[in-house]
Amino acid sequence: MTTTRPEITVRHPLLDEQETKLTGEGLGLMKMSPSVRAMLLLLRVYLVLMAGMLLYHMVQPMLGKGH
Amino acid sequence: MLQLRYRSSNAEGVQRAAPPARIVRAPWKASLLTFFMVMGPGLIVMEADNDAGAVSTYTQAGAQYGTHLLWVLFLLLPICYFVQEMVARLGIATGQGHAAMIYRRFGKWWGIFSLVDLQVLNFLTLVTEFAAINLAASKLGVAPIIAVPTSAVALTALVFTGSYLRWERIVIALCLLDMAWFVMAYVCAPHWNHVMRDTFVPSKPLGGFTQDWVFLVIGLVGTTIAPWQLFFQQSCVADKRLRFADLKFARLDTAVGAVFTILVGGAMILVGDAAYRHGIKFEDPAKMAVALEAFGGPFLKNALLLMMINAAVLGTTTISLSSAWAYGEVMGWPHSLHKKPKEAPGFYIVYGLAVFSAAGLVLVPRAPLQTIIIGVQVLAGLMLPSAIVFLQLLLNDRELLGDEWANKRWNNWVNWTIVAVLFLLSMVLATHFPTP
Repeated sequence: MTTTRPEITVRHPLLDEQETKLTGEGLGLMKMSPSVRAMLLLLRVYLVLMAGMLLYHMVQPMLGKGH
Repeated sequence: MLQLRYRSSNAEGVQRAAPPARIVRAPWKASLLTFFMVMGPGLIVMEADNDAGAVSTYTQAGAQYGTHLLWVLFLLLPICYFVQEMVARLGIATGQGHAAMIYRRFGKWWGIFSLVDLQVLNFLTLVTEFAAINLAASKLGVAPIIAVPTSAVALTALVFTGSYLRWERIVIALCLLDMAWFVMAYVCAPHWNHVMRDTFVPSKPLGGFTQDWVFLVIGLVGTTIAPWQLFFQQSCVADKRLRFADLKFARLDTAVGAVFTILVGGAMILVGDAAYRHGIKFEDPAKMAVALEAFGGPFLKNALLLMMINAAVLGTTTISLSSAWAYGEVMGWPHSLHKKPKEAPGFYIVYGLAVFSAAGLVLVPRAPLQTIIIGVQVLAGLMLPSAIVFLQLLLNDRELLGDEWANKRWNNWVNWTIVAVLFLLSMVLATHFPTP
């Protein structure tokens, strides 16, 4: 006696019924836990530092030419 | 409370383009078929990262240090997988792009910052892509004034058809063309015992750890992981409407893409290694291709130049799309490859502007291309840590994702280590900026 395996329907994601996603609509901004706050502060410091470094490296050759 | 959005049916255009459902009995066949249907965003994002800049950096690494830096690529394999897996997971869970998530969860300031940062970096990178097309085409005997505008028109036509699937199939075919790098590496006849040793065992370079060596290592890292990739893959996964159950296949797609891109990157180093062994001084990959003709014949020269163009084309379409998707997400415009240009004009205008303005700049006589190329490397290196920090914070947003989709403890250990290493490399880069 042979058993027939059930059929499996494989659909392309674009052809399938769309799912309810975790869009976060209505949640608003992320809650600022101490670790998130610290990370964003660190990021600001890093960006300011990098902008300063970039400015320094751009200005330095011009100042050098002046001497 | 979490509000969920439900979109009930597929658009007519999507149903027209998608292949019909298949019925199978064997579970392994179902898995294999589903994988092939899901496959795309991971492979494309990884392989498109082997763009013109990557060809230049990898061949330079080979031409200056032989096979010595292969171990860096081996180390980068898990790193690029871990980073892009997070993006794929976030895209599947939220069905939204990266820019939209940053804007929504971190507010207007960080949202605009991320968008402007991405647009500037992407534009500069696109200029380098067209500069490569310009270089390679001129060495193939095609005038840049013909090659550059033709490429821009073809790249625009590729997305303006209003079919995600058509775009994806063409781009996957272009990705697979990169297998030609394996043939080129074979033709270059590298010393395979050196290749094996240098892939798995880091060693001190000839000449010691110089500043140039440090920059090249940072360049390899910056080339292999770029900010646009985060934005691109998440938007692509959202546009392809991958389902929750597709996550394991999306992970496999990302892993296959990561392995493929690292292997192709390795092959590029081996082609550069041929120049190293024959004492050819590296200036740019196009000049190297011409010089290698004496040893590898016209096949090697022409294949290298054509693959340079292919790399630039892949980079251009994906980078421009990441710009267009991100802009559309933040501005709230329709932003999908399923839509015709008249249905999503803003999305297509941003794509077209990105492509044509970069192509136009390359054709300007005496444009500061070398400064732009170095600027891209510096800016990408500096901006990557901040892009990954947002990704990491979003993946720890349990209010949004819940425990199922948020990072696990081991994910965080791995990813924070990657973030720390990237910050460190950026600091090194910042204190020793290269000058044109």
